[in-house]
Amino acid sequence: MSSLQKTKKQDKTFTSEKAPASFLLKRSRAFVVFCMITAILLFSLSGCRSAEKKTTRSLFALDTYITITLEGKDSEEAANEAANYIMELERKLSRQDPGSEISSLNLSSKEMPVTLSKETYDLLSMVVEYSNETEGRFDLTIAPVMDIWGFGTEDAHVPTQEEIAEVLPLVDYSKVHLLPDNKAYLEEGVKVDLGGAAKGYIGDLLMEKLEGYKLSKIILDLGGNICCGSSSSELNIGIISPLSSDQLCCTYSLPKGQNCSVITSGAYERNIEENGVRYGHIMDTSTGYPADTDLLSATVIGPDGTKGDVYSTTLFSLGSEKAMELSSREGIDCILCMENGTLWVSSTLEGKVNAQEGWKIEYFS
Amino acid sequence: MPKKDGKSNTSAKALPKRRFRFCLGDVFVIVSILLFYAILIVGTWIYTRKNKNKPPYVRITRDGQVLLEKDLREFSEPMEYRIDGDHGHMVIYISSEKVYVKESDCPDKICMDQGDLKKPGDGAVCLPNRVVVEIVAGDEDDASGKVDVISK
Repeated sequence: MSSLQKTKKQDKTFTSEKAPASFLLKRSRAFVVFCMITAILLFSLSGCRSAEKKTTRSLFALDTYITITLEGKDSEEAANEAANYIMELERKLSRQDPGSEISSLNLSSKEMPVTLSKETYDLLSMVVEYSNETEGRFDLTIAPVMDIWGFGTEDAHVPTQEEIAEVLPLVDYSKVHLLPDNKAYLEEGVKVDLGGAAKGYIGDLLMEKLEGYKLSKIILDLGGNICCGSSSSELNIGIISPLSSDQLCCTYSLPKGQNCSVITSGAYERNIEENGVRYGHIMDTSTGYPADTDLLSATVIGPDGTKGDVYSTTLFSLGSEKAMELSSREGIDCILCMENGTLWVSSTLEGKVNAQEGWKIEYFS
Repeated sequence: MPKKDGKSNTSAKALPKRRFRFCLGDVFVIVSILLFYAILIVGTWIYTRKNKNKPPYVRITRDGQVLLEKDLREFSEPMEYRIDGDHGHMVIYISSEKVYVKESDCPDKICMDQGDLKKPGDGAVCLPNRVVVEIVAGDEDDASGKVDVISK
């Protein structure tokens, strides 16, 4: 062997620093070292590319488009269960499905109360409570008014004053009666629609259900209602700009290890335009007309999706002044988006919200 | 001689003085180890690079079934993709710069309101027709910039 080659090899053994006295001569030890380094290398390579299995599942349900993104060893199984659970809950909660529990509740009367499943009953009682808490600004019995406006259907139109006056007395959450043993009934003519809270509630139930899977990341997008959490990294949640659907007005960063729901209500979707006037789909429950608000959208961020769903609608319909008052009183974290480009943000969210170009953050408390 | 030195760990400090003697087998082992790592690292590098360079593509699905999935660069000649859905027809304009829903028979027209889809993560959903038009990043890490999900 030439001396040149010898020094070259010697160099290598020194630079790679894995050489106890005579690793070359003791093959067995060299082999162990080789195996260890291989193992470490493979581990680190797999670690930096895709640490966890990622599963994305999309489906049409709850009258919207749902995307479930999960990361973790059992993410596929978990996504399947989540999708099945959504469809199961939809069958119970959809007002459009004549076989659903909500449909049978809408046909109930004092003489014929209906027995509901635990999920439906829980949601119903929560929403009645929230209707009470918001003094009827959020009212689950708004359904008859929504029906005559027909948002999102082919015969969407602006109803006449008389039409509205006729159904407005039916909008009254105190006409929903909850009985023991998961039973409930409605007074005559009253119809409930839990659509304003169901997506938030289903998000909550799914988060609970997915807890058992030890996932490192959960992102549930229920038609723009977000429930998410990640134990491995911070999550950035964009809030859509109410002025253009392909832009954001701000982003919210959720620290790792926390779960939250981010729910936005606005009048930029599902509206009716007639004689140059835009009618949004969020109603003022006292007039039966779209809420007269100076807000473009309201976003509620918090651990409770049901509450977030209810309050984003309520805050939006109240307008900026009353919305700020209510949210500080109830301790709700929110982002209120104004027409002049101002974002009113709860001071408790300070440092977590970043405005996009063209928007300016002001804190309130 | 050196073999004996190595076995008795008492002379660990005398490392620079020790002389290694290589035999052909040792060289073979070293070379094959180095070669193995080199292949592993270069292989991984090429693999990740290949994935990184995957261009964004347009995907159209109806009720979860993929109708069209194509590299956006293939649309240097713009085309109009027609779908016959539950509510009648939809027309989707596709060019290498942008994609948008040009016509739809659905009652709400939310899909048309979505405007131009240009970057990965952009999408338009037509609920009545159960059609989703989206631009998907070839490299998933690049999707929709730095935002994980959008609340709307």
